[in-house]
Amino acid sequence: METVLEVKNLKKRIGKAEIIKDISFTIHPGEIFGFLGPNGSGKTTTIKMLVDLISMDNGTIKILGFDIKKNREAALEQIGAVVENPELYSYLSGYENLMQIARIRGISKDRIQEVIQLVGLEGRIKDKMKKYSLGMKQRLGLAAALLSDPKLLILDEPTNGLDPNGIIELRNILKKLAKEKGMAVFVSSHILGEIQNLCDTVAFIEGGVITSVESMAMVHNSLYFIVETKKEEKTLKLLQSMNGIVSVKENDAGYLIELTGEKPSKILKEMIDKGIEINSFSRHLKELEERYLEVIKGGIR
Amino acid sequence: MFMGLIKNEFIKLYSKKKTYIILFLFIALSGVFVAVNQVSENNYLKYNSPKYRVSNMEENIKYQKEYLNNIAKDEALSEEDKAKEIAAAEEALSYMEDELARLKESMINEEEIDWKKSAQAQLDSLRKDYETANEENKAYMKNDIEKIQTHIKHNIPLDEESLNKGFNYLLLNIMVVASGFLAFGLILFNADSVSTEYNPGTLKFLLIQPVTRIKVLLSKFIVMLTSSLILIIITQLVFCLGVGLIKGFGSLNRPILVGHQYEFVVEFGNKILKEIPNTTHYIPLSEFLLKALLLESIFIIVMVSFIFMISTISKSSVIAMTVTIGALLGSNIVYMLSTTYRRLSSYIFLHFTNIESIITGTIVRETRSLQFTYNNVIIVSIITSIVFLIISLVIFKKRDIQI
Repeated sequence: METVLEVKNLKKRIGKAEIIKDISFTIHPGEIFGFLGPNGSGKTTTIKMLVDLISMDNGTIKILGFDIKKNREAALEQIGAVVENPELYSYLSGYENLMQIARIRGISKDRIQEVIQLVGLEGRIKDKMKKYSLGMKQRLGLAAALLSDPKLLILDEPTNGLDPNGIIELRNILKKLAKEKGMAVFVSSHILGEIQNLCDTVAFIEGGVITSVESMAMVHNSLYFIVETKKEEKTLKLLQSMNGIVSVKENDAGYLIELTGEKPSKILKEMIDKGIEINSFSRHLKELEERYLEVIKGGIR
Repeated sequence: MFMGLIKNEFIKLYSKKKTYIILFLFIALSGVFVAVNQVSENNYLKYNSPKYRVSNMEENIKYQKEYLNNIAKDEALSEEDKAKEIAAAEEALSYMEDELARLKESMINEEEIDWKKSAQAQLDSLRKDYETANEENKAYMKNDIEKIQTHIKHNIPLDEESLNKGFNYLLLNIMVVASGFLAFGLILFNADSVSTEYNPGTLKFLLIQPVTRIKVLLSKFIVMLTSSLILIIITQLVFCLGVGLIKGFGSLNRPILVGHQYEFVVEFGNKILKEIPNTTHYIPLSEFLLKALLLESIFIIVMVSFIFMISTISKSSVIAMTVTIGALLGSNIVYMLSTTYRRLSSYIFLHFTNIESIITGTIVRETRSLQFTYNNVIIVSIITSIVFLIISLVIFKKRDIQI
């Protein structure tokens, strides 16, 4: 399959500390790729290397086949990015800030209007940026990144400062662009909910190492089920004795059971046949948070 | 794309209040110079007007008479001394009274006085004295004769240099600005040009665009330099025009003495700096002004390159400002204290601000550096500017942007 971003054996040392220790990953068109890790794990350093703000000590980064070192301008042509906070010129209007990019990249004024509408800044675009709220700055940053209709969009903690409406809008915009235009999106975050709701793939990074790259579909495809019922000694023993159930744990609603892979409907029928009074039976979507705690040794600090 | 970058930088620069504040300060300063020049013209005219000279002479005569009375009463003096003193004082008094009569007469014919006549008279008397003068004086007198001849030839009153005329004003503005204000003004205007993009980190936003870092930095440099040059020189020319329209421009042919050359000679075991005779010559004010404008521009170029380099290296505007002002003040203090440093100053661009002395050649007398010439100043400035620019570009190209 075609790759939009290919990162191989990336290493970076700052002073004596090895910040990035040999990471590799690829992103495909239309894929929303989450980069998840605690503070100081190397997320922003990686992003800065992707856009050549800092040099790498080892490895290669290719954007649509253009090497960021050898073919820097051609590679950057394909990228729209917001690195850390969306810091644009506070003494210029939102519109002039976008014009600054348009002049460098040769973008039409029609396209600027289009992007302004997309991020929902029509009303305030002529205001000086210093009058913007953090959420509006995020929107402007997103507009700046989207202006050139990039093949790869890189966002660093994009929901910082956005209100719930803004977060939902952002999610919808990104999903739409990924689906309709085949834009690949690289999102770094330490906010689990953000990644869970948005991404197709998640890479967990800790201490400069990618500990795991997982498809969110896999994360969702859980074998855990919640059985809502009255908690009784008798019921517990019945569940434990059944074939096809690996483990049984009590939880708030009743019991959390792990299946071996037997059809859930079959297990449910068996439980009913055995006389367990079941109020509800549902797949327990394994939360990213649990996976995060499993994968990231340091856990949430 | 590069033109886009340049346009961006212009828009950023002229969207900042600071730009207008500094421009306003410079305009105010230029206004102050108009006032200063006018006051000195007024003073000159006052002290040289026949009326003032008459009243001044009358005052002097009064004092002289009192003095005579005092001598007559003085008992400490011997009779012999007294007679001598009185004779001398009376002689002075009669000279003063003659002078007073002459001044009064000229006051009546004030409007008829033709400066050309008196200039011609001066010229004739100089020529007469020239025949009998010694070699050293002859050189000076020759200069004076040439000066007066040029004034007469181009119909330029001898005292025009003391008047507040358009071109005189321009010259004053360039001299004073260059020697006292230019470096500080350029620092205020330019020191934050690159460093301001570090906080907040707008530089990141700029450097992820598909243009080379060299182009990003060069566009900033070009905009800083052209803005500094244009704002300063246009303001000076506009004020020159303003003063000229009101007070007259004065003659561009007014002769100015340049070309002083010096050599070290050993006299009584000491190495002393001596002016080489017969090296000076006159150039018209037009040429002097062009040279002054060129030196001012060259100083702006090298100073902006320096400030630009510091602003690129340091990631904070405060540090950039502190370092450049520190360098400026520090170098001037050392210049005043150390003769060795003064001799080396012909290689240090920070001291290329005494435009008048550099053009006339008298800067050598101050610094005791025979290398301190107009041509060398230009060559050193250009080389220094190129070095500063290359350092800025190399550092900026390789730097990791850790904001």
